[in-house]
Amino acid sequence: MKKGEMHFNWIFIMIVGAVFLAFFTGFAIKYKDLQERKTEITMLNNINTALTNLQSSSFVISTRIDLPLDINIDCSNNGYSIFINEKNKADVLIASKKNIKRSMHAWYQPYKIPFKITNFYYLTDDSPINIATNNVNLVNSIKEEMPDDFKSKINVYNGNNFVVNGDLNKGTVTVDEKEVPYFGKEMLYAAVLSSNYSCFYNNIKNEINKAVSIHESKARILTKSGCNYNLILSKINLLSDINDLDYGIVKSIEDLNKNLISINCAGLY
Amino acid sequence: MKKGEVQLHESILVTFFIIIIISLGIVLYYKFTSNSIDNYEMEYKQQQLTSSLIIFQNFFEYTNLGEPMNAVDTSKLFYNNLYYGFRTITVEQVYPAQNDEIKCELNNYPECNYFVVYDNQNTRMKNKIVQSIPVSLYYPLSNEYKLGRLTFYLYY
Repeated sequence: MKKGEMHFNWIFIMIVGAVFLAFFTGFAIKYKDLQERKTEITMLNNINTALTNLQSSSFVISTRIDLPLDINIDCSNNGYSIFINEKNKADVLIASKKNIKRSMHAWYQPYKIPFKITNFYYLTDDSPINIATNNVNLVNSIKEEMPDDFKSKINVYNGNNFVVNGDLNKGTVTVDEKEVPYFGKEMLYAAVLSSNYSCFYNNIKNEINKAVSIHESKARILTKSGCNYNLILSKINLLSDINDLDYGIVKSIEDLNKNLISINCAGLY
Repeated sequence: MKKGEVQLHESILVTFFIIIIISLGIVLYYKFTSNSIDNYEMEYKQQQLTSSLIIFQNFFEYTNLGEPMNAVDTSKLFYNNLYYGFRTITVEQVYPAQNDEIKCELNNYPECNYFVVYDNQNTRMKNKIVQSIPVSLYYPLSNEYKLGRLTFYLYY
């Protein structure tokens, strides 16, 4: 073989080798992305199914899902999203810490004041939740109402990281120097289990406004029957601002609704 | 050309063709896997749509003193400040059957049988997934229950 031919062969081998190497490396990277996408879809499918199934039970139950990848729960004023490899919008309200690792425990509670506003989903993983609070008795009492796999993870101490001013139904919590109201024990559960409770609160305010609007629109239709819904509507409208509202409003709306039914009018909820 | 050189060239050619065949196999395998993941994603979309149907039903549920009655409260279906992305959501009465389709408006309710609860279509999205579930429809003005169908159209 001549020297020129030898050089040509080596150059040819190097170019073909580089092409094959690039091809196989590209394939490996694309295949990895594909498998990650598959894992993500499987996880989202499992999470979606688990959260939907929780709604169908009338008992206080929780569910556990193994997570092959860690998930991030992102909260913004437009709602929640679950981030695995990419952002996926969640249609539900989630009280949870930001990062959930290895396994996820989920629990669900409908939020009613006294008519249903929305469903809350509480998520946590296997790591403990340490709460240093000024009101150990109150936090312990709400902890007792949680399912066992949540209860066992919450450790309550005396301290000032989670300052509660109020009772089981109404008050404020101060976390990271932010004072945020709660209205109903379901929101207090959320304050205990959320890493960003102020964002959760902003979202629930939107949901309350939606529920108030739906009942307003329903009342407009029901007035066709000749019944007067103005009084109950005036009370329901007060729920749009729960900051300075007394929890007694819930009982008062409940009584007005019962009164409507007792005079043969359709109940508003 | 010497015999050894010919054999060397033959070996290189055979190796080259084997690598080409392996590469083709890998490309086909990748395409096959990619298609199966697309199908899987489609199943996820359908699953998500089923969940949306259930969530939607809960959102407009008829409650008696706060207790769920497993029926859609039709008087709530006029609420129009919803956002479900590119979807159309309809509720229609199927029993008692009626010959004419009468779209429900505030002025003709409850003398109607078809609600367009949400409609946000995008002309660029040519594909759609359609899912329906039977629902019980409650009419509070007449205190009546009727059988209906809740349908979601998801455009993508």
